[in-house]
Amino acid sequence: MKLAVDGTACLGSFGTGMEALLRGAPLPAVHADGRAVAADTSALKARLPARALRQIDHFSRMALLCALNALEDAGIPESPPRDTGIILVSGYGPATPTFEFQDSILAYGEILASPLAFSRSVQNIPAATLAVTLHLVGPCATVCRGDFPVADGLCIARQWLEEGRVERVLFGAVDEYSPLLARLTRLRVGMRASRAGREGLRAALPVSEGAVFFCLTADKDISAFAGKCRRGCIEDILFGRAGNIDPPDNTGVGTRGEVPVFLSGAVPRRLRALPGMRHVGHVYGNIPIAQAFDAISALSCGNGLPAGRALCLAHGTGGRTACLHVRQAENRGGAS
Amino acid sequence: MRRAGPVAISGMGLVTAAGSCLPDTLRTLEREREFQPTPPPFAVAFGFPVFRCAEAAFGLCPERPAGRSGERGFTGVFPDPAEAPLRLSRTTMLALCAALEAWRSAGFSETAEPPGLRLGIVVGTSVGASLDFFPLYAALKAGNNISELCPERADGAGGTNRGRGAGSASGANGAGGTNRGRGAGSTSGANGAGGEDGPAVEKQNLPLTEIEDYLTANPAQALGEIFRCSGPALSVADACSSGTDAVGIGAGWIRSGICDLVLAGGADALSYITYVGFAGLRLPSPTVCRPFDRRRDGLTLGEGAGFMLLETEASRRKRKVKAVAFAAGYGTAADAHHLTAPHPEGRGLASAVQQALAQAGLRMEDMAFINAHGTATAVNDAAEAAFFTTRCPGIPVIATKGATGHTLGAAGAIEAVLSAAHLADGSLPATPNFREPDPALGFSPVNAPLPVRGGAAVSLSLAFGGNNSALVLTGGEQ
Repeated sequence: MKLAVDGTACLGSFGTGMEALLRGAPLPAVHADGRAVAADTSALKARLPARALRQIDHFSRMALLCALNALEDAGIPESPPRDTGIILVSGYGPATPTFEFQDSILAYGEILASPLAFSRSVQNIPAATLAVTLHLVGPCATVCRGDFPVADGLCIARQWLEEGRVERVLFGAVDEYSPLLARLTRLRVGMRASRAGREGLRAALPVSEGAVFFCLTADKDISAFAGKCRRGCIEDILFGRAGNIDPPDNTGVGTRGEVPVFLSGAVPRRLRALPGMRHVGHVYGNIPIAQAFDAISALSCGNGLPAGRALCLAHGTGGRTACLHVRQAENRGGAS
Repeated sequence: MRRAGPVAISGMGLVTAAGSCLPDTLRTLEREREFQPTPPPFAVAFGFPVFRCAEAAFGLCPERPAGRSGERGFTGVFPDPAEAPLRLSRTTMLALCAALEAWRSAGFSETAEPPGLRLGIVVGTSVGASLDFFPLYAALKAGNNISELCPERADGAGGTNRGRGAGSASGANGAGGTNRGRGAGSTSGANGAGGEDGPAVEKQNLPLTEIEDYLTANPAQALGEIFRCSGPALSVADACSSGTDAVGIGAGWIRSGICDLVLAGGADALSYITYVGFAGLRLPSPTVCRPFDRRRDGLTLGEGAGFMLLETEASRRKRKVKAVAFAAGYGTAADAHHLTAPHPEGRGLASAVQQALAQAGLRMEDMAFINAHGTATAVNDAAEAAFFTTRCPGIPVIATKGATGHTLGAAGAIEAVLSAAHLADGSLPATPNFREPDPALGFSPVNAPLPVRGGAAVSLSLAFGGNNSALVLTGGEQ
C-alpha cells in the first residue's frame, strides 16, 4: 500500500518551512559559545494559550508547531478528526529534559531530584503532548533509534492504515540539538583510527535539530492518486543490507542514475560523488531523522526531480539500509 | 478496525527475576505465592527494593559467557566473533537471552536470518532507548577524565557495570552544578554544526568504549545486527506499554507481508536514573508490589525481557512447526487526558481492548482470563478495577508484577508471553503477593490456581503519557 502525503511541514536550525529548507543555505552559524541555532518555535504563541505552552519543553514545541503546520498544509483543522493516529520518531528523544533531570540529581541529590524533569524525560511524553493538545484519542506511538528511525516509523503508519485502525496518521520526526551529544560524537569520531571508521561514525551525529511532519492517508485509488494528493506519496519502504548504494532491486524505478537518490546516514564519502546522488545534510545537519528531511525535500522540490520520483536511502552504522521510494504529486509546483 | 487473521507464535522466551527462562519462570509462578525483592544493585539514597534478574540468567545459553553488562560476550552468536560490531548493554543482554530462547524454541539453530526469509525485529523498551549514561555525564560535567571514573576501562577492555555505583555519582557530585538551559555540558572546541564533512573532530584521551556503549545501546539496533536481519528493526518507546505495542506491531508486519519472521518483545534493565525518577514520584513500594491487594503501597521496579517469534503460515507450513499460540488482535489508544495519570474511567483502555477484540473477531465474553497491568499503585489499580467491574465482570484477572516487578518497556511483552503460556498450559497460577481483597476495588484477582476455561485471553498495558494497549491471544495447536 502506498502512503499518500496530504500535508507536510518542517522546521529546524535553517528556519521554518519548505522555502527555508530548499533555499539550500548551509546551516546557520553557531552561537559564539558553540551551540547550534535553535529552531524557532515562537509562532506557537499565536496558536496556543500561554498556559498550555508553559509546561512544554523545546522538543515537544518543535513537534507541536510542525504538527500544526502539517495539518494546516493538509487542510485539516487544528482539532483533527479523532480517527487520527500519531507516530513520533526520533534518534534520541527529548535530550534536554533528560539531562535536566540528571542535572537535578547532581545539583540537589537523589532525594530532591526533580520528579517533573523526570516525567518530561520519558520518551513518549512529546507524542502524548500532541495527543493531549490536539485531543487525539487514537493510537499514539514513539520510535527511538539512532539508525534510520524514519523508515521504521513509516512501516507502523502504513500498517495502521492498512488495518483500518485509523483514517490518517500524523507522522513526525524530531531531533533535538544537545551540545553534550555533539561533543560526545566528536570525541567518538576523533578516537576512530581509520578514515573509513570516522566517516561511518558521522552517521548519527546529533549536531543539529529540527522536525518534519507528514499527514498520511492510505492511497486507496492509485489511478486517481496523482490528482487527489496534495504533496505526493511514499510508494514503498524497503530494507536491505546493502554494501553499496544501489537502490533495492524491487523498487521498480529503474537503475541507478535514472532516479535521483538522496543519501543520509553512514554513507561513505566515495559513494556520494556518484551520478544522481544528492546529499543535502549540510542544510539540516546529519541527524538520525535525516531521511525525513530528504523525503520532504524530494516531495517539495518542484521540477527538480526527473519523472517526479526519488529514492531516499539511509545507511545504518552496521551496514543496514532503509529506502523510501518517493513520488511527487503530478501538479507539483515546488515549495509552498 | 477490521477483523484480521491470527498470527502464529512459533517460539517464546523469557528472562525475569522469577526465572532465567520461560519454563523456569512458569515453575516459579506455580510453586511460589510470595516473592521478596532485594536491595537495588546500585548505591542510592532511597530504600525501595527491586526485582533483579540473577546473573546466572545470562549463563543459560551455551553461547553466553559470564555475561556482565558491557562485555562483548555471546561468542558464537555472531557468525564471526571478530565482526561483532557492538558492546552489549545489560538491556540488550536481557533482550538477547529472551530472543535466543524464542528463536531456538521455534526450531531455528543458526542465529542469523534464514536464507529466503525476511526477518524483522521490534523491541519495546524504555531504558534501552534513553540517554542513560549518568557516570559519563557526571564526569563530563565535572570536567573529569572519564578514565578516572571507570578505571577498569582505561585499557579499553570490557568493563563491568553500567549501573551507577556510589563512587560514580559521588565522583561528580561536588562539581555538579546545575544547568537548566539548553547549553548543558560544554561545547569545547568545534562548533557542533554539521556540514559536508560533519563536525570537527575532537581528540581527547578518553576510553572509546564508554561513549560507544551508549551510542550503540539501542536494543533493536543491536539485535538487528546480531541476527543480521534485513527487515525493519525498531525500538518502540511507549513507556510501560512498549512491550505490548512491539508484539502488536510485529504481528502487523507478518499480516501485511513486510516480514516472514518477526522477533517481537520487550527488554529493560534496572537503571539508576529510572529508579531515582520513580522514587521521586513516590511510586515505588517500600515493601513489595501487591497488585489489587488491600495492603498495596506501590510498585516494585524490576528488569527482564520477553520475546515471541511470530511467523507467517507459509513459513510455518514449510518448516512443519506448530504454533504455541496466536497473536489474534491488538489495540492501542491514547487517553489524551493527562501526561502521567491514566483516565480515571479507563477511557483509552476500553478503546484499546475494543480494537483488539474487533481485530481478533472475538467478544469480551470469549476471554478466559485477563492479564492486568496491575502495578499496585493506587491510581493504576483503581483505573483498571473500574474497567474490570464495569466492562468485564466475572472474567478471571491475573497480575504478575508481584513476581517480576514492573519491568517498564519489557512488561507488556513479558505478560503477553506468560498469557500465551498459561493458555497453552491450561492453568492459571495465583496472583503473586496477593492475599487480601480490597473492598474499594470491587473485585479480586485470581488467588488460587485455576483451570483456564476457554481459548483466548487479553493482556493489558497502561503507560505514562496516557498510552493504553491490549493484546488478544488465542491458544495454539496441540
